[in-house]
Amino acid sequence: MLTKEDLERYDRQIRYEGFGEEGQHKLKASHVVVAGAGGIGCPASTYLACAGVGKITIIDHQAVELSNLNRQILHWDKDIGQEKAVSAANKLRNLNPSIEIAPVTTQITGINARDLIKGASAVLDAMDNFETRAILNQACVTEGIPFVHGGVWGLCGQVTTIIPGKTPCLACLYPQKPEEHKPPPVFGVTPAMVAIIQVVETIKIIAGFGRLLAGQVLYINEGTMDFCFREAVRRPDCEVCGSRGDR
Amino acid sequence: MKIRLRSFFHFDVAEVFDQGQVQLADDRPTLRDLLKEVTQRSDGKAQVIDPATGELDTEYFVLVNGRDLQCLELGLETELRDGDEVGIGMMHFWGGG
Ligand SMILES: [Zn+2]
Repeated sequence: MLTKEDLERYDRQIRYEGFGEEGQHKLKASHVVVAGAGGIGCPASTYLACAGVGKITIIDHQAVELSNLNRQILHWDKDIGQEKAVSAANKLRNLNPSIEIAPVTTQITGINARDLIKGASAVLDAMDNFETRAILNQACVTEGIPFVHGGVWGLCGQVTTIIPGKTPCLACLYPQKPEEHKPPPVFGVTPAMVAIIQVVETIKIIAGFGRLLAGQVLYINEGTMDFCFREAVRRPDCEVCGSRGDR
Repeated sequence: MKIRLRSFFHFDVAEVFDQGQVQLADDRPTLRDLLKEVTQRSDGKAQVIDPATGELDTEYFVLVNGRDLQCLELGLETELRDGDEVGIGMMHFWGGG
């Protein structure tokens, strides 16, 4: 049930046709896992909290460093040295005390991934590396949980929404481990933009309206302001979701 | 013949050509001709064609008027027409932390 305070707090979005009180109720009853409390995870969890997602689990095992502060907007100067998941949770609780924030400071691995995401309405990919994304993709496909992928490099980014059983999965798109250059260059605005698109996708998945970036990848280049969509093709022999998968 | 270029990765391929438009001399140039030109003119910053295989490098994708190269019947041998728009992008952005 939405309370009187909910109706006032979320009044402007409840007015959106196709969302309404029913959509708000669905958000309140939902649980989103934000995997990573960095450049994507900070803005993503901020907007999920503002929107009224009932429970947000934010997972990150790292501590805040000075070089994080150009983009990881939930971590402030005074938070340097603190665990990111805890730092983020403290700010989010102040932003919206009516929802539950669950910080998790464990590293995501192939062993614990399914337990960490079990029962979630969606998982928002805010990781900073290929390996953990691959682990989360596999866990989401196995658990049947929508996985909203986002990644950045410099002023470029990509977003796609993976609905297990319906769309290609991340391993269909990237079957091989790519070369990674660490740490990548990044402005705060690029992960923020990618995160906001991921949040919109997550809200639409939960509330059940609009059209999703399912089966297609959105590429953005803020350096040139070029944007494009590319069709995502399912690989029948995909090791995660195809005939060679272990589902 | 003029081809408009768009970039979906960190190197602005259009920058190496005047106003983002490639002037191709051949009157029936293919996508391969264009991508070779891009690879050459970009000083190795956009290695779109893999020198070892002569095919599209696996890290890149190419769109011709919004259509993915993978969906083009003639692939790299697709003939380009005046005014075509070719987008070049990289598939891997794994940052986010
Ligand atoms: Zn797959």
